[in-house]
Amino acid sequence: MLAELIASLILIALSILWIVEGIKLGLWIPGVSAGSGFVPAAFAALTLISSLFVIASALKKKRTSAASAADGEPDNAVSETGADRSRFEQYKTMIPVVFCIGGIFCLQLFGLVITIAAISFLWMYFVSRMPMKKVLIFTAAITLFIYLVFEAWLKIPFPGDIIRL
Amino acid sequence: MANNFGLLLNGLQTAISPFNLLCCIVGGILGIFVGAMPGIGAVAGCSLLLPITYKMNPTAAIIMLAGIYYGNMYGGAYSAILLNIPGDSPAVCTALEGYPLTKRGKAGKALYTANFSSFIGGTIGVIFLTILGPALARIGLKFGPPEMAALVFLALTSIGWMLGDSPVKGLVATGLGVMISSIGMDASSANFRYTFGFMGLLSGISFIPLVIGMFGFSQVLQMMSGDEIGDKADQYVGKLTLRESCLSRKEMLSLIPQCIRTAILGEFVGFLPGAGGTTSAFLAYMMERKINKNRANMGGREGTIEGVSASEASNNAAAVGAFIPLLSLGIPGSATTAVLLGGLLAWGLKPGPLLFQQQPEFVWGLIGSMYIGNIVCLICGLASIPILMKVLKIPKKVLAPIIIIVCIVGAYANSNNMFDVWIMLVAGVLSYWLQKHKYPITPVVLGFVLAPTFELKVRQALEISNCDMLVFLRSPIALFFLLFAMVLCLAPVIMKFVKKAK
Repeated sequence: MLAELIASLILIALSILWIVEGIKLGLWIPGVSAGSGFVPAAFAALTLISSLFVIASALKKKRTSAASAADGEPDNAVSETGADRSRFEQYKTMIPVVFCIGGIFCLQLFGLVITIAAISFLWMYFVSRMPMKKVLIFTAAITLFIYLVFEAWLKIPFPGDIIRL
Repeated sequence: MANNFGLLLNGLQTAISPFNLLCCIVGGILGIFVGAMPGIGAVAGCSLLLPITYKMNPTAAIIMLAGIYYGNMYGGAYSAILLNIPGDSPAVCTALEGYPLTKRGKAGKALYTANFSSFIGGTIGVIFLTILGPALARIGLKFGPPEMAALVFLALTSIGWMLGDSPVKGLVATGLGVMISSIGMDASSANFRYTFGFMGLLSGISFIPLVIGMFGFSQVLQMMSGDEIGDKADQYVGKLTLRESCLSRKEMLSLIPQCIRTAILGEFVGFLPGAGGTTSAFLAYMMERKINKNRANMGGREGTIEGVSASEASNNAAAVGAFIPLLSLGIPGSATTAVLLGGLLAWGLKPGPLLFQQQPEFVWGLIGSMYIGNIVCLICGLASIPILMKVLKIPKKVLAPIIIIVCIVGAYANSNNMFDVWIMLVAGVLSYWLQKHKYPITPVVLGFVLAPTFELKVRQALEISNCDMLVFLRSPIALFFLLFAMVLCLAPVIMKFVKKAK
């Protein structure tokens, strides 16, 4: 519930920012046409109003569930376990983000081949915990396929400042 | 019409000449492959191959490029269904229905439906092109800026209302998509807006990195958080043989009327300049969600073949429909046909009403090749289903790094720009965050795609009418679309009040 409210508040803040910027850009050029800020501000206003409805709906649900749970006792043991599990899932979710950021820097420095090989190897060995033989086979296959399609055939100019294969 | 039929027979004779037939087959296969690869769309595929065709005769060259174009429509569905990464923007609705089918072990059926519906849609599109091509182009001229703005408004307002569990959250998502699309340079006034000082945002947010991040990368995040259904299973269990993937006779017969009506809608939208496959795919999907016998299950977590069929039949018909304004008026109906127009001009051909009279062997050879190309794409598509389904046998612990790699490489390949890869990452995280809070993602992407057209047409309409807002109400076509949009949005609300009152 709290997370949903925070999400709606963030969207409201974003909408307000868009409307303010839209007003600065100009909503209307009299006698000519709509300004650069007209359509973005209009849809930002739609987002703002809809987000307010979402908050109202969430608060209404909270009141309804609070009224119906008034006689029940809170289950602290379950909620603590749920909180721990949620934090663990959040950390797990960061893994692909870390790999992606690492991949971006690796691509800029070392080029395509090393980047693909590194991502495949590190993920399959450390995250998926696969046996080394399978890791090496899959890494080689993936690297070869991506290289052949994107670099050899389509000739996309990937960066790679330090070492490039 | 009899004259057109005779010309078509001549065209077919031209199309089945050995070299032209080879070009058609090669173009279709390349188109399917290019369409299936996230990051490489029809525009990129046609652009990359255009220089090769300069050495060919114009008829063979345009046949190959056309093959790539509509082959791409077939291929765009594959990554959408198998990996939830739409190969191009028309495949967004296909991903919405097709990927849940894959998660239920019905990937083969979804792929078969996509191929079957694409074939029917494409064939109906070509029949319309044959019979009514120039006449349809004249109707297309009646669609000015107010009419186009109203049509896109209908699509925009209906997206959020119909998709997802909460219509209000759908509207939030649509608004967010429009807001994201406004970043960068304003096409009408050449002002930079919503860049907040970031140099990389001056050219705006590209579609490909956005959709790869929102659909592809966010999927890996969901895999890691255990949100995906069947996370405990290492692979999607299901019927993975071609025989068991085939549609039953009953299913095929039930899909045919739907394919015909969505293809007609797609053809109609496709020949409107600027409307494109995305608008047609979405409108067809929306129409089926209202009238289809299985509409109760459409848009749900399980996916339906009717949803896949609606999107695919329509966007293939629209792909053919985009040739009508190109050949008849010299007006490209989509970005890819703009590339084809460049090719036509380079070969010394002048698209327009006289093209049909002055270069009949070229025009009818092209139209004839589309009939053959559709058959080629159907055969190649069906033949590739067993190979494509092997993708599903890849364990998730191997699939996850592959998706990350494809996302990074595909985002970079869009415009050889590292900033696009960062956009992909941010879009993926945003998409995961939105889905965690039960906001639908498809309206974000569709709002992003349709907003530039909407804004351009609104401003053109206001310029033409000296800022008179009533211009949208004076046009009967525009008024019809606006009223239809209001009815679609208000009807569920009114029905709810009526039921409560009873």
